[in-house]
Amino acid sequence: MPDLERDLVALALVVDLPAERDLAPAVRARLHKPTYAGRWRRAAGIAALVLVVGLAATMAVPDARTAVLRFLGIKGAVVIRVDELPPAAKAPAEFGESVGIAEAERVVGFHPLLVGGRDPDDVRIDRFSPSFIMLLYGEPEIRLRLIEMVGGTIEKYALTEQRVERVKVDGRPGIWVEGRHVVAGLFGLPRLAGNVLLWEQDGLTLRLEGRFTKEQALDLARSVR
Amino acid sequence: MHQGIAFRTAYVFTGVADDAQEAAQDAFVKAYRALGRFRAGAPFRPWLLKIVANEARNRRRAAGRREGLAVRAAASAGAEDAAPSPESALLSAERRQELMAALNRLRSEDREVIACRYFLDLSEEETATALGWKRGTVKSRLSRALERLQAEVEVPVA
Repeated sequence: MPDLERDLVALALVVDLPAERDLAPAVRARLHKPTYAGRWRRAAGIAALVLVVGLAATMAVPDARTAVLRFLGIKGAVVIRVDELPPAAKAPAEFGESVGIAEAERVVGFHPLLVGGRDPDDVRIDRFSPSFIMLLYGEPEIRLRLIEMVGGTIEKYALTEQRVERVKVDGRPGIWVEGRHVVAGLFGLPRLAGNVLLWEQDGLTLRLEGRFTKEQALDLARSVR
Repeated sequence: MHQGIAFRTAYVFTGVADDAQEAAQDAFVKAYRALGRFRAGAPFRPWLLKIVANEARNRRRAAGRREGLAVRAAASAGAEDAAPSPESALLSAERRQELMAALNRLRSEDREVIACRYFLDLSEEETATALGWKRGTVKSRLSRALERLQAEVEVPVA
């Protein structure tokens, strides 16, 4: 049977699966029929669809194309441009159960990366969603929050005029989102968030939030190990 | 981003490129309209592929066809005047023909699970959602499909 499976893998290289077709024009035409309610959901949906269908290269509006292209390529996180932010709960930015780092590691099943290699002041986990860990540094008013995630997807909704850009963290792909935006997909209801840097590292999706500039965030991210 | 895999997945179930294109387009439109039901934090691709597969199967049924994918070699593979390709080093032309013929003798369900795992390189989770099976079922049904394929390969051609 291993021979058969090996041969099937080889057969996949020559089997006739038709070349990819551009689905964008037909999908876009159908989506622009005015049958949908809710401005933000419409905008978010189209933006998300643009993302998933991979229409970016064919978009007609240069600004929009640039924006959409920025969001491609980061694993575990997607930023969706909207004209109006979706409703968001005034949920606390910190969640879950406070535990020691060893217990957190046992629950999430991966070794947490630390900012500057320094132990955090607090560690939070959600035992019902053990793919996330939140490391907290500093006092609440100057707090730095590092969320580490394996699997799943962080969704962010940002206004079209907001600064959202692709960055590199020591060569690793990342996204910088500046200003108030809505985050979903992490835990609980969508909530408002501030400046955030997202990046991939060691198989994890990392999300660093705090009152910092992009340059400060990048410096901090580079110290994560 | 997911355009290619959506189209190829649809093709596995329809076996006709134009139908696959229509099915994939329908799926993207439906996915957009169902975004509100997408569970935040869940992986997006399996969810999308499930919609794609459903659309493709519906289209095949509507066309009155029972069979989907018919496995054949791409036109570029095995052309006599073509330069030797890397894949020809992995699989002889004779073995290729033998495997494709055996695959096409399988029932469509077996062919689909093999195509999902080996031709589309879908994960077990994605295969399960695309086929509408439980995840644990994929492994056992794939195993049985491979056994039947092996048996077909061993059947001497009359």
